[in-house]
Amino acid sequence: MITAAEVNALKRRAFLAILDAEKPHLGRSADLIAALREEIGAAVPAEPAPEPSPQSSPEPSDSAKE
Amino acid sequence: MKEKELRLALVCYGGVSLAVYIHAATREVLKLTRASQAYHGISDPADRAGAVYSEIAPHHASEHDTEPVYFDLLRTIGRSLDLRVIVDVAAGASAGGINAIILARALAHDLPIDHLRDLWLKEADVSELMAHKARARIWSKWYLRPILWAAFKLRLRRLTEDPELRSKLSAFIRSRWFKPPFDGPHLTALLLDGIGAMGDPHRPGASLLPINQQLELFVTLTDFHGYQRRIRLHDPPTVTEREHRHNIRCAYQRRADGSETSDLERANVPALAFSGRATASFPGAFPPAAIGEIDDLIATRKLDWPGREDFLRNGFRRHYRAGSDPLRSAFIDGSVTNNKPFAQAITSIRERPAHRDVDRRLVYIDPHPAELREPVDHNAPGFFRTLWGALSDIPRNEPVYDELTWINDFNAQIRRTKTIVEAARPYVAELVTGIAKGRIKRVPTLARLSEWRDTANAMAAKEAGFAYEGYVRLKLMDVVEGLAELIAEGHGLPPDAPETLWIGEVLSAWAKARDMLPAEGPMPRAKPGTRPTKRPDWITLLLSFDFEFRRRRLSFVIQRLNQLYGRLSGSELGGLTTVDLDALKGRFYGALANFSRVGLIARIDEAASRQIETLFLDTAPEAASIETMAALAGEHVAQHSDALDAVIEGIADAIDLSEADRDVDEIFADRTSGHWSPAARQELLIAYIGFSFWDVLTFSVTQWRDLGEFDTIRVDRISPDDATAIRTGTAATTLKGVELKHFGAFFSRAHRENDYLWGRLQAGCMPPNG
Repeated sequence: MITAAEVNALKRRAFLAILDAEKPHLGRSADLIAALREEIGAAVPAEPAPEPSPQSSPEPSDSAKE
Repeated sequence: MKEKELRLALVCYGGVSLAVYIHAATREVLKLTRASQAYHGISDPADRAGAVYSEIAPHHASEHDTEPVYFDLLRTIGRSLDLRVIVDVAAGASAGGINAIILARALAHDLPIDHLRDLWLKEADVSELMAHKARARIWSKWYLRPILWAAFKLRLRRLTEDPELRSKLSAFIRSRWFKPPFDGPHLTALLLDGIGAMGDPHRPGASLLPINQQLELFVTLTDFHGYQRRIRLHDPPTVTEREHRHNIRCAYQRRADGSETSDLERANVPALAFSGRATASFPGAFPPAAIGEIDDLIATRKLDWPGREDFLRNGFRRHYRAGSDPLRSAFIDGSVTNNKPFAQAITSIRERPAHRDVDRRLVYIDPHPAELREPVDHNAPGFFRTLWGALSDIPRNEPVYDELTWINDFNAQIRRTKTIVEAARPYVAELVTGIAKGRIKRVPTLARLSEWRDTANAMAAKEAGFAYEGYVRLKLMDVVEGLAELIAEGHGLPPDAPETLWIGEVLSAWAKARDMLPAEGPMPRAKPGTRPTKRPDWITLLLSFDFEFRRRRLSFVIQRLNQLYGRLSGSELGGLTTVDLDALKGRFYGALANFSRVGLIARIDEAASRQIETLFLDTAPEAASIETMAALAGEHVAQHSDALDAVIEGIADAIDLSEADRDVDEIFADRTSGHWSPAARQELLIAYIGFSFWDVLTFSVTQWRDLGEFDTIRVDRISPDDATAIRTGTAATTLKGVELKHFGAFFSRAHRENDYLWGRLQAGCMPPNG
């Protein structure tokens, strides 16, 4: 099944993808987005160690924009 | 690989300006569904590991952000479980209703929704929503100012730090009062444009619904004037009640042959815009909605509404029956009559056939769960507090306790039934194997299948002994009631109409007169192998009209088939694949459609229909109390004995259940199909033939007569109190729209942006859970 570290990495990617995608549309929220970026960094930290699984998905990137 | 369906029924209600949050949360649900669709669109599972989302689903590329992440989530889960996400119910009330409409249309036709961000961020603002005439001029209502400020009890110091909010709030409360300040036609136009701009499918037939699936949208309204409904009592014999709750239902269905029927396509956009406008008519803020409003707009813009007649005819059937004209009705927010969309969602999901092992979820979005706060004092509330509470706070608090209790009871019942079914499995398997006399592993002939079914019925009666009496009487009464409802529905009458009750009384009086329901003593039994002409009449009645039993039986077989997906990997099922089981299931579903009410009604011809009118409908006594109905029905049967025999026999011939039975038998008897293996056939034959035994065990313990499958419903809530991955706390910690009785975000774009962003982030916390 899916590991807690994987869930964490995916959540982090999802949160940051939302912030990246919404930033151009939310003109009044630059401060909020910056603050959220920090909060996400603290609450859902990037994984220090790489996934042990052999066939895992591509490494989590900070932005989901392809 | 184990396969599972995650079936979501989404309920969005209330929230006023927190609708921005709900909109954002439904976005993530749509994105998760898109990711699942793309993932399962890759037919060879071996190709899934290296797939890139943007290459598989290039359409709507500009609005992709979390889709690739959810895609990777499904792929990571996919190492051990093939999880498919399907939303098949969206139900909404108030501003949540608008979001349910948008989501349903996006799901049905795989449409983009990015442009709708502006509908909420830009347009959901008091300065945009206010009627032009209502906007404040500097001098208007200056004398009301202190009263209104006091009435709102604003915690001003904190709220008015935001200059935008301060100026708009000031303009708002100085504006026209005692008339709704918001502009109804303007909202109608916004919705018509916004929902219309979602466009057409990027290719014909594009949808996020899998084949053979149905999506239902429910929007609840309150009909201000209501329409009349009659109900029979003892004294007086009938009373008239006024019904104010009104539900709009829109459906989308995709069939195996590629055809689709849709109430969510472009032709129906005006109906969707009207529904959104009406359900969001928060009393006092918006004027009530009328269908004329959308008609005017269509006329001014020289647009077309091809689906108008269908929408009126199907959506307002009860109005027409009661002699009310829906065009003259005024509709307001469904939450006013506590018309929560939970009930519709629950009814809808339990009638859905699952395609796999299924995890059913009812997901409701609650931006502001009620805080547990003891009242400051327990003194009787004052005059204004009582009024405000009755008009606004209490109905809008929308407790879902009753609905959630109902689901818990339902689940408990399902678990009990499941235990009974499983406990009996070895015994039933033994009985069926005995009936088949060692031929269970071979391909049966049609004659043999029919013989086995008869033997199983006779044996069930014998084995169950005394308990069978209760079962069969209950079943016969149920069949009579089901037939009455079928006849009524064929003439546009709902099950609760007084006429339906009368049809039921006539049918049961007829059954009694024919000795099908003897007042005392045991039911006459058929000996195994009795010729059809020598059968007791009650058996003929069941064979002719017990379509509910057939439907239960077939659903039971399909459920058993669904369990086989998990056993494909070994050699146990003789090398069958997912494709084989899908093909078999497609055929069972085709046969199941033969037993649907709509299908059965369609088979009743014009002549039989006219006879039904003379014998059942025209004879319904106007002023008979519920107690005298049975006696009147008895007299009616005595007078029209032969005619009734003829019409009932005519209906039996028309719906011809034996023909429909043969369709099912043919699937089992098919020797040419490569989709069967002996082991799979044996499993499903045991379920099919053995259902006669299982039904005796479970029919009387389930309240839900049409229950064919045994899946519990899990309830999930999306709310600031639950999604705490980023910031722990409650709605007050994160959301701005909770202020001013949930109107807060109507006054400030910054507030809306805040709530919108949190809606997406908090819904984004949900998918990996459980």
